[in-house]
Amino acid sequence: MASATTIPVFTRTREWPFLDLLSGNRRSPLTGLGTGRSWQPPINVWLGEDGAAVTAELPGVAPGDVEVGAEGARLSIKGARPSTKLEENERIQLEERDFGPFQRDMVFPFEIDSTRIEARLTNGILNIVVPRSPDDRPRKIEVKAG
Amino acid sequence: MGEDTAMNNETTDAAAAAPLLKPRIEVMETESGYRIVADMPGVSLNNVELVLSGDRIELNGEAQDDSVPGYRMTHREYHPGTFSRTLSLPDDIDREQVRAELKNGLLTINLPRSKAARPRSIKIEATDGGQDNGD
Repeated sequence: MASATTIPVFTRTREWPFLDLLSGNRRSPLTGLGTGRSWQPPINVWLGEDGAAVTAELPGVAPGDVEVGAEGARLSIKGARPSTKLEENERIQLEERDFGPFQRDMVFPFEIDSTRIEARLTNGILNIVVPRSPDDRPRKIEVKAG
Repeated sequence: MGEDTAMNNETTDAAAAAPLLKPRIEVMETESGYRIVADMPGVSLNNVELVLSGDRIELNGEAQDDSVPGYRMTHREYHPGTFSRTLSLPDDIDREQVRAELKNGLLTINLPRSKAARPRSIKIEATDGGQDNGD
């Protein structure tokens, strides 16, 4: 039997620190798809005439923790996001961030020139330039009179 | 265009006016203080601000737009923009000693406890050989 409970009203922060204040109008977390340990970085994709650009949110990931590969028209991003290293006697009070291995694969409507791919990690954003293979560029076919 | 509709006013002009994103955080505690780690992808040093006021800390800033000139967006899973988050703080923090650093898109805030608030052992002294005088 549930007894009468008191709904706590958190006005006294000293009893309940690190409460999220003023969070009523927030929309979404700054990063992350899914929950728990099945974490995947969110990506954005742009297309242009000479290829594509892909960006991914990877906060806390060092360049050595991520690998970019291409084969044919497929691009893959994989790696692992390390969990926060705890110091001695340190306890976690609140944990919202995700970590662990991830892999994202995408297929483009063109062959990738894998020799010219460039990937750069800046401020936790992975930026990949995905050039279209020169052999795969649209070309005009001359129509001959028959 | 179709995407905007699917995203349900997430990308309307009105949405750009208010801070809408909320960074994910982690909070750790030791005897000597607290540590907050916040995800800040796409945020550079001059685009983030920390405000300590009263019993709260505010994390404000903006993740840079990473659109590529001349390219058209075909797939979007995240929206860089303004973010804000306000957290209540415990009352035993040494406010003068709060420090923060930004690395690899991760903001780490160290909040040491004031010395007076840290636990310490009190030596118990015996008087009269610990004899109980009663009352």
